[in-house]
Amino acid sequence: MEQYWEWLCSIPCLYPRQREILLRCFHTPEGVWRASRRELEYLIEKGFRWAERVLRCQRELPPEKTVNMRLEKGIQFISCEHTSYPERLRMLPDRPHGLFYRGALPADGQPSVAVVGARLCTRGGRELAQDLAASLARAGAQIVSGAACGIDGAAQWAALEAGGLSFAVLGCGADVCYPASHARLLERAAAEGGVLSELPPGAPPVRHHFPMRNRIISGLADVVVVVEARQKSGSLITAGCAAEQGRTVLAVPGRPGDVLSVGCNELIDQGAGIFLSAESLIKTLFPNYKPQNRQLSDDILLAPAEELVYSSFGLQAESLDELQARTALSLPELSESLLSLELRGLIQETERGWYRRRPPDGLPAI
Amino acid sequence: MIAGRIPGLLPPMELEEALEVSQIHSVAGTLPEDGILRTRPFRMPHHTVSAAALAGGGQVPRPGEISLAHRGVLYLDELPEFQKETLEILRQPLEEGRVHIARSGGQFVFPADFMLVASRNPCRCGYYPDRSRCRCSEAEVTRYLHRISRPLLDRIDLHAEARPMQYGELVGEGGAETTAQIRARVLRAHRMQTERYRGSAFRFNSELTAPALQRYCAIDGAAQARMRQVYEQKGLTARAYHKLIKVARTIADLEESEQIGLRHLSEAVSYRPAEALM
Repeated sequence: MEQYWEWLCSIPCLYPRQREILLRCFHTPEGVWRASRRELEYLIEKGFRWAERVLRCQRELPPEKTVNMRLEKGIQFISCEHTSYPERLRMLPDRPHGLFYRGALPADGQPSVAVVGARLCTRGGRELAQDLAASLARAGAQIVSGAACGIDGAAQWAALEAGGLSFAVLGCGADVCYPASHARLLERAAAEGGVLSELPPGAPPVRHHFPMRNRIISGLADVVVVVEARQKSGSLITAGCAAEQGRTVLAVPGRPGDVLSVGCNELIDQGAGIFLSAESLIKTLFPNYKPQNRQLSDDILLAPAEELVYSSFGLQAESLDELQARTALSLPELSESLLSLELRGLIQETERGWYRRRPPDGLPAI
Repeated sequence: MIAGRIPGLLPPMELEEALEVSQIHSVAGTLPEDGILRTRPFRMPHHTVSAAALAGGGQVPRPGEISLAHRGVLYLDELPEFQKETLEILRQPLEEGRVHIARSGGQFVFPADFMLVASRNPCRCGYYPDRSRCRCSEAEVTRYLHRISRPLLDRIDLHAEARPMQYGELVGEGGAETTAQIRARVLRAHRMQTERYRGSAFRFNSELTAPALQRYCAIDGAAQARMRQVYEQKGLTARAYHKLIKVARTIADLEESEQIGLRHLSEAVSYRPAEALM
């Protein structure tokens, strides 16, 4: 049975709704494979022109061939009828008929959180996503996202760096590296977590694939956190899917008028939860988890100037100018304190001239 | 804005220097009617400048912009917009203080000991990291920053970021230093250097060689321990380390401090070139 499912899912440019129609007509994937030319031509005549693709694949791409081609690429397949198909997806009305994946699939019994957001994000948003993903991963949550530039990729990378599991749901074949700059991220995710897609191997990353894959991201998660989103944003599609699927949606609130917070604030307006902190989220997901917070302990003695500089940091990275304005120190004094704090690992320079407090148990910079 | 102030900050030219600069400008035919140049030259070629115009060229080569900026300032605005090949020409002069031009007629050497000042935007649109206005993708930002090669960046001693100006600063609230005040500090520092290097081959801190650093730029034990940490944690090269010491020496000079202290070194570290921007 599995091989017919795979054959059905491997037909290029055949999408879930069309497969649904085929399954209604022919009952099983094997039925579709064995459908006669006349039956399919009847469908084409009725206006289902895409049924031509089924005809072609019946001729050119028999099930054994699709299986072999996939195995050569090192990709695994699982159908929605398989016993190890993710439970979270099985319950969805529009569940993917099959998943192609490298690595593993998210485990059913382990909490999983999707961290999604804008591609063109702010520094603050990126850092928040990194901290959140790293703390969640350390607590034992699986991080699901779309491996896109910006928030998605930053969160996934941070989760991997923290030694956790990260699952990338792609809008192209599981063997296609998109975005190209995330080749390392995808390789690592495939090795330590998973890279998965409902599209057959080799499928290109075209526009209309992405809204489809967003339902898988939210479907695989228990909680969806939207970090930053513009007014019209793919993250909002993910959040919408999540709401339909009955997942918890949390949005990071922002100031009204902030371009990158408009989407998040709208979500909250529509009833999404407010993201308060990684700690509170961890507390709801893992009631028994005790984080090993590294407080600024007494044995770290800071000079008065260093104390002043350290305490002037907020949650986000601050520029040299801003710090100078806050502390009213001269540049040499300020840079002396910063360097000393940096060498002790209490702060880090995220980009040239931008410093931030190091998160509790030390998150390596992306 | 900043670049326009720099000529007014530089110490005056000594007679010897003035004659040398005038000679170059005489060869190039850019000498004013009434004799020799008295102020340090400030050259600001447009970013469409050709390699030959920058380095010097022609059948019988004439000095280019970098030689005309000898003992003065070469200011390159919008650095990433320059042609890559044109910029790479700067490497050798920045290292040696002169430029070699080979022609079939022979080898020509022009002096080119200038201070390079350059500016660039953080990305193509100029708004990064303000994401409410900048719509450049990460790849675009990286590509823009990578247009300038690492070796060239490494040869620039001081890197600083400027943030957008507040209105108050624009109209001069808050009592910033005037050019004249800064110039007075520069002159004091210059005097210190002249005294320090009397009887030696050096004139400025930047000219110090590695052995001379030991002699003129001693740092005390505590500072040395900190510098070891910096050297190891930041993975500096020997060249970068020496540059750091020279910059710290100058910062100390500007404060009229004989001894290079921890804060001078720390400030120098904050000026070092960006490592990984993304």
